[in-house]
Amino acid sequence: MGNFSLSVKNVNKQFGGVQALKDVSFTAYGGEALALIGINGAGKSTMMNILAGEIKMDSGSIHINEEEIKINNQKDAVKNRISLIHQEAVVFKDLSVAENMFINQLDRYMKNGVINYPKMFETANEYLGKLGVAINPKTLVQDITIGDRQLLEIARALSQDSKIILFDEPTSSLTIEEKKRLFEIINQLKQENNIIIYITHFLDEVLEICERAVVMMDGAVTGNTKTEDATIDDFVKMMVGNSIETVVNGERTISDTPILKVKNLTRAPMVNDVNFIVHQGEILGIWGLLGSGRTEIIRAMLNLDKPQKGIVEFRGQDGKMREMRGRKLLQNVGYVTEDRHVDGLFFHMPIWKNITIPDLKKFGSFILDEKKEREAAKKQIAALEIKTPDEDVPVDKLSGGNQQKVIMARWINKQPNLFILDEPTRGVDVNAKNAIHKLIKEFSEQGGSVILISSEIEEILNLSDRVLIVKDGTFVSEVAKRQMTKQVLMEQSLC
Amino acid sequence: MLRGDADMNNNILMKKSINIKKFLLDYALYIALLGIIILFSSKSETFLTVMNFKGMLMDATPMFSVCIGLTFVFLIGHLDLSVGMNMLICGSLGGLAIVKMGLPPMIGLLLMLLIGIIVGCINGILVVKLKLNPWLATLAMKLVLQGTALLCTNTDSVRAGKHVNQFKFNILGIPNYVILLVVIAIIMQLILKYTSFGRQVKATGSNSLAANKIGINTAKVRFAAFVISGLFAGLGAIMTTFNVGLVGPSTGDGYDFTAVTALVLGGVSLSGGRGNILPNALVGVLFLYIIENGLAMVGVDPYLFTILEGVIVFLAMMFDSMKNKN
Repeated sequence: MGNFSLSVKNVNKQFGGVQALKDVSFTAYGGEALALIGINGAGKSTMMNILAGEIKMDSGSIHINEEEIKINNQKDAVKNRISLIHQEAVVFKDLSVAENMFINQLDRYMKNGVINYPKMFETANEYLGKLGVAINPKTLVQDITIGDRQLLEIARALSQDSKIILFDEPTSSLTIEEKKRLFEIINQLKQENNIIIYITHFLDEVLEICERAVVMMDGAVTGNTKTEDATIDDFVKMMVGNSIETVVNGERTISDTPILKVKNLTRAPMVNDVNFIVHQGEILGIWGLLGSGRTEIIRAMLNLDKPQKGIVEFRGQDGKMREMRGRKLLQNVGYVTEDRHVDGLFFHMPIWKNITIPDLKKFGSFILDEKKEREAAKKQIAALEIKTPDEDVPVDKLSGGNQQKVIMARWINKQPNLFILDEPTRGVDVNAKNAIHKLIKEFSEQGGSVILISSEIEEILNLSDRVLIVKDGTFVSEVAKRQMTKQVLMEQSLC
Repeated sequence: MLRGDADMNNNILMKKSINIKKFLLDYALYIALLGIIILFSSKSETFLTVMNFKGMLMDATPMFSVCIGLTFVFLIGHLDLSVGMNMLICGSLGGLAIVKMGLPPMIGLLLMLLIGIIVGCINGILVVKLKLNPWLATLAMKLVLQGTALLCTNTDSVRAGKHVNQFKFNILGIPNYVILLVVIAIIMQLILKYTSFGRQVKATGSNSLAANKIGINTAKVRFAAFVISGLFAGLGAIMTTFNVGLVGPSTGDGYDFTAVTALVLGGVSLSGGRGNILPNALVGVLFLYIIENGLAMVGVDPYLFTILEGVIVFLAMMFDSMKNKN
């Protein structure tokens, strides 16, 4: 097993008219973690899915220890001891941990036509023990955390004797603790001479956990290097071709005019007596750890989850602050979240309808002026550089970054006084991210206010005029632009 | 630059081959419809005659009316199983008002619409306000309506036809109520396509969470869809009264699932957001009526129609899934 290796050679894959993979070749070795990095649409997930047997390549070959293997479906992948750990664990919530673990090998536990549960639980315990996690295998999956579900998928992979384990953005929904635990497990897997292939957007993770990195751009490999020889800057250059500037909002004076006032907002247990003010033209950053209540505060404020207590005041056209809630407030602000799939887009509708939908009044009191709508949409498509042949394309045909731009376009078209952005660039590639950052900055320069929530500390640091720190469902402190450093934000939110 | 050009050429080529396949899949229903018409006309001399088609259109008016309303409920992603029995109770009570109570026929007809609207409102309250499952709520409503109608009419037919004959006339040989329904269908389609209400209906069905988040009053939109469904069940009762001359205990029987079949066949998505009255709902209804009529003309066992109806739905779903794969 000394030179255990997995090679892909000249792999090509076409989707419709798009060349998703172009002559991709690389080799991963046992005992190493190989990072596969690139912006959205670079082809990393396609490559993973080919290895896992979820899609078939058009041409090329896959080799284990120099010997060619065929992967036509998931079964072939399992046979060749390859497992994919999905970004969102593929689990059945109503079944137990053990059942989930052995779901595709239940035959092994059949005795006289029924499942031998004691034996199954025992074996499940064994594999969970190997990973050093204490989950009762009898627990229903709906009762365990997202982090534990992911470990369950890893345990499932181990139970299938997998030696090649593919991770697709494994940390995107983990807490800091869970992430630490995952990295320990990955290190352990490496010590046992497994091959790890690790897809991520987070370059610091690449430096931390991976020995080598393959960089992809537009479906082709643009870099293949040892991680100790490269810096984050090097990677970014390989990912986007030429270097791009980051948008930074310097220190500036903000008016005292409030646009939004929130008083005593409470929704137990996640929102506890929250008070804050947003000023005109200000970008207000909200920083806190996952689970601190930052998203819940906004949802309670907008009445999407009904608060038990609290007053929200919003400045009207006449410049007077008055109480406003629920739908009225939603109509007056632009609310963008990372969940564009869940509650953002109208997937089968064309881009233009997605852009004009919140502001139909502008296009006619009852009968809509389609021509005007299309013109407005075209303007936004050009302004935000949404990559599409025309405005008639349904949004489900766009890439993630462009979808997020459509949502931004929707609100920019409407020109609300206040933007509420909750992880606006999550899962969006570097170029789209920069474009969105530029939009946010321009919007505030024109007098619009922004509430910005993000897990990415750079995003908060670069854009915010002022940061409120959330902990345990309430704002514990405020950081002005001058004192804003990574150190300060991390300390304030942890201590 | 060069690469871009090559890609573009490639795209155009791809597009062409996809287009032929897409065309066939998109118009599979129309092609099938044409084939069936040709088949039936070769087997029966009376099938492809103006007389026969006129009769068929007249017979299809109640179902088409119901389908116009049901399209709105489909579009918001719900289902209304009470449409058939709603039509029965509208026709029965409205008819009784004319026949038994001696109210002016026009009042009786308006009453049919009003009862339909009231039933639609109740459905809307049950589903939107009380958040009951639309399947079960409208199924329960269907039973209540059927029982009530049979109780009120004593299972007798209500013969209001001769009282409303005064309103009937032909335009270019076509009964006025057929033309009226077509005009109404066009208006409803225009509302769906060109008004903010129509857009909001489709948005709500496409993604109600998103619609809610951008400030659309989704509760109001969903409620409106059920009311429209009720209104058109009432109009269906008027069509029945005009066409058959009476509303009997079997009126509207099985209309609920036949209407669902017609819409699914025509291409109105059960999961909401996609579909139109014209052409989808209309073609779905015509398809079913042409097959039923043609089989009768050819002299096939009527039970075969039921089997065929099932097979057609299977095929329609299959084509739909093939289309979505592309």
